Amino acid sequence: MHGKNRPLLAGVLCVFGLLALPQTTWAKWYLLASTHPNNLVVVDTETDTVVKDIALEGRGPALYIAPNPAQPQFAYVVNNLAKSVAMVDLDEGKQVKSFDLASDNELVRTMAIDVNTQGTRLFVHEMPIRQDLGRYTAQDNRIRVIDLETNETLTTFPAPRQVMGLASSQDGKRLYLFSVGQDIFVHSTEDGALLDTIPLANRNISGIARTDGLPLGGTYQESGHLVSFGTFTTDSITNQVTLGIGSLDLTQADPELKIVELQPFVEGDYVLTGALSPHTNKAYFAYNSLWKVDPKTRHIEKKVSLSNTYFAPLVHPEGKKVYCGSNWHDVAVYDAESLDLLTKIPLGHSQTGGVSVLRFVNR
Amino acid sequence: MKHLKAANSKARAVTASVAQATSETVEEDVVGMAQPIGCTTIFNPGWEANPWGGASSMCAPMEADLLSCANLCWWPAQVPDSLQNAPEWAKGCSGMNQEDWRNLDVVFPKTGTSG
Repeated sequence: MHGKNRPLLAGVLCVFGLLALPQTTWAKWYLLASTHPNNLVVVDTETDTVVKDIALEGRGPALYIAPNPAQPQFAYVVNNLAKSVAMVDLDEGKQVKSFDLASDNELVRTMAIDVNTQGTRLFVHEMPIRQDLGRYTAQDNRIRVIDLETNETLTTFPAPRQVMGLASSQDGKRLYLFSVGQDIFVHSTEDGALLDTIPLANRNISGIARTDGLPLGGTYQESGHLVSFGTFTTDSITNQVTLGIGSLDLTQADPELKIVELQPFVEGDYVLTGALSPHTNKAYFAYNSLWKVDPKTRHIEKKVSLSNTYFAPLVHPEGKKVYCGSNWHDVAVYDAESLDLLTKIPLGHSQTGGVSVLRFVNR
Repeated sequence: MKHLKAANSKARAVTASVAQATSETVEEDVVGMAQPIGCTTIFNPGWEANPWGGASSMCAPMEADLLSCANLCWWPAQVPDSLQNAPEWAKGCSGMNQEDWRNLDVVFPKTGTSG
């Protein structure tokens, strides 16, 4: 082989090598953000700039987002006053379908959706109310299971009330339901049977009256199937509340709920939730301040004031940045190590607050 | 509930229902959190206060959570019910933090209804 062809050959081999790598090693991470009035904003997290602002159809506000990990071209967004789930083509930049939950005599809203890792099922927690003349009757809550190959409903199964978070196990066999003021319920995705209950509110530990916690703003699939959230533990004698970090590794078949109590929950450090970095095992909390805690030592390593309230801290899937947002018209990006403000990403409209209105997707 | 006293027929119906459920050892299906998610525990408009009775843990500035509280009815008394009765309340100011939030509608109670 002539020496002058070697650079060309090396280039060709490099291209083939890159193409042979799994998608996740070369694709980019994007941030999806629900905003008013009824939009899904796509942010390139390499440049931290908005690359698409997708107006959804019908009435807003755009709320909870569930990316499709297996087909990241598509994401699912609750809108229409929480009565529909819009299917959005991120490449085309438009809504391609709407799953309407309500019927003629039943008003149905949702506060929790999830797409399994395999990208084959959309789970929707439904809160139905039967509408009769002059009378509303609350119906039993349920999970609707939608086949994403046919976009048809496969089945529904009974579910607890007040569910505000859903998460699928990595193998797709179990669905975890996070409910206000209750334990964590584990259902089979095959037949909907209740397989297990993981004590959270009722941990039955001496000295602890109860523990509350919800994976608000959860990005578990992007974090290696690590569900993490702030916990609030009430002392049974003093009634004092302690802020902690809870985590559940959904790569495990029978995961253990780990809770580390960190600091007194006081007015100056009010938070809605927190997040655990799977890269460094450091816990992040944000509301009117952003701070980082080492759960092993309970030492607050760094704390910075925020320019305004951000409801949720999200650890970037690569672990080097923390995105604070969910309610303001921008997302503030901080260095995960130093907590230096890197940039603010103007979204053009206010975010809609609430649960899982920011998610990452790998494209 | 033990610190509240029913003052009208609907509230008395709730009290009776709870008492009946307790006597029949029916498990409650709606449970509150000991630590409420949301920054206020007071339901009087204009009198927001946090679980400690103060205001320092409220959103700063207030516009940071006004819309998100209305979306999901977190504050059922302080902001209009945008899910059911006043869905267009924030239409004139959907990007509140960049627009003039005086464009928000004023919502008055409906007349001619019992309650």
